[in-house]
Amino acid sequence: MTLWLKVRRAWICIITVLVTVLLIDLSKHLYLAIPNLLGGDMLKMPMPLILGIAICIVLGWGLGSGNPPLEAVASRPTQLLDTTYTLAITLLSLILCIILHSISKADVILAAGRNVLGYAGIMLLGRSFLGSNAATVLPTGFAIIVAMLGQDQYGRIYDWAWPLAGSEYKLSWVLAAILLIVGITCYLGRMTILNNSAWGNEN
Amino acid sequence: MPFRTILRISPAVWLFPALVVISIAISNTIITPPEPYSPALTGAGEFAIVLVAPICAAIAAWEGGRLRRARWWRLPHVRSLAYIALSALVAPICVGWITIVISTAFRLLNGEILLPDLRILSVAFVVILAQAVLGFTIGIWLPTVVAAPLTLIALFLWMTLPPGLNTFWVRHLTGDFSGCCSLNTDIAPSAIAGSILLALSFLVASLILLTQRIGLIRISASLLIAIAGFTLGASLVRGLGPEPLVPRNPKLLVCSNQWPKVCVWPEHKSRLNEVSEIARRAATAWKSTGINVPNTFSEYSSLQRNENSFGFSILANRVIITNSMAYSMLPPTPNCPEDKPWLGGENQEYLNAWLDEVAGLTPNQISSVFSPDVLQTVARVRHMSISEQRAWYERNFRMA
Repeated sequence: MTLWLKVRRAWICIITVLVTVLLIDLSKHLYLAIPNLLGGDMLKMPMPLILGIAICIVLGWGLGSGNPPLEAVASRPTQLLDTTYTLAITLLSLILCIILHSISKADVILAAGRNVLGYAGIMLLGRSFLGSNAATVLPTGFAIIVAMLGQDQYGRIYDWAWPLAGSEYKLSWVLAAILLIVGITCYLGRMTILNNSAWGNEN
Repeated sequence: MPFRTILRISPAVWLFPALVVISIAISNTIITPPEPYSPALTGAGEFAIVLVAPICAAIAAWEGGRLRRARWWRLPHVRSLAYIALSALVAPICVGWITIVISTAFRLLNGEILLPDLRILSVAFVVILAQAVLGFTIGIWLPTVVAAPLTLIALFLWMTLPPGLNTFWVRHLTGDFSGCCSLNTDIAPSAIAGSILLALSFLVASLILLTQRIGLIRISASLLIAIAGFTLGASLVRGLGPEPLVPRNPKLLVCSNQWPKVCVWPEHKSRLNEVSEIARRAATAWKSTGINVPNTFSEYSSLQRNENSFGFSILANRVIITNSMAYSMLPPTPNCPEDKPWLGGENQEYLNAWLDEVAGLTPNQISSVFSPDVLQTVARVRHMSISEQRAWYERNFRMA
């Protein structure tokens, strides 16, 4: 278990979560000036909405650090542990954001916490379909595309651009949660396929 | 590495078409003056750098990661490190440069000119080069899964955060000159120098770390150079306002020969005779009422006596040009503190409308510029004798 935590870089990930949440709070009044590809003025995107990517990067790094063929035949339920670990890290980020939100009353902190859930889901989807190395590029690219295409020329946010929505929009929470669930399902499915192929090779 | 192999394996090459389309779309978000003014159009075309440079850097980080994963970098090799690095970097750098050239050419051709502003373009080239080398270095020393997204997001934040800050000078170091330029301004040389200096310092700092082994001395030297570059760059741009602009060189003005002398920027040369005639009619009419008329109307904002500054767009009609000249006859707007309103502002409206009507514009022609109250008052003044009108003008001029 200790070795698994070490390989998954659990401590680095926890430190990253703490630092990122702190940065989210410190940058709650900062905005990125993003060109709006759909016309209109420059978009102002709150900086905390994009910072959650950092947590996904370190999480993806940890999940990709193991030895899949070896873990596939391990006696411990590694895939279950990985799922629990991913959920624990994303929920820790969300809980810390909720605590900071209750102190500072800044809506954007809560939205940033929600974004970590969705970004983690996209990262897991990336791991399943693009492989370990490209997994973390997917949520990063998604965040940038959403920033540039997620609002119309009048500044109205599209439903699909959930990372830009305020925390009061329930649909954005639903979409972020769906992404996380789909991401975990795909990750577990891929690990099962790997396990079967590993056993198949053995036999 | 053979050229065909570079074309086959580099993500930069696959992403090139998409990058070009996005760059053109980004550069089209910037509104430029309708005149074919090279710095403005180049600045708009080069705006794509806010995304192109971070993407090229992320691709370079990916390429660095390939060498790291294959352990090519650390193991003994026949070819030099510079050759290996260049083989990996040539695609992202060239794709970045070509993309910026295409998006700039697109804006220039839309503006019907061919020559870009080479100063702005050279900054874009240096920034892309520096960010790509920085990305490659990060890719060599960090795992790809971290390096590529970290480079992309960090550099994207660096390019897009400064314009949102209230501290103006930071935004002039990124190499984004989309705020350049109106016709009577030019890009500030200090902004060009500051951006290049910072980019070069990051380039050198990255190159120092591009060895097979890095120790504390190399890391310290690299950090020191990056900090020195940032400090020097900041000291160069510290005095600039929200946009990196300076007044344009007045030697470029093209002037008429008749009274009053009219000086316009070269982009307005085609309309000089027409504007000169408008100025002659207006100045003669104003002079006939006994008010002081300057000898020169210039598009350059001069503080000289007897020289008024006005401005117009290449698309402006006679009404707009006359109104601009009339506005130049008014006292300059004072620099009021926020808590003390400028009381003379209202008087200026009446004076401007009166000057317009004296210059030959009808109330109908200026009804979209001034409120009905202003036009009614001016209509009453216009029914007075010439000496009474002059007295009214001078009284309001003193109050404005």
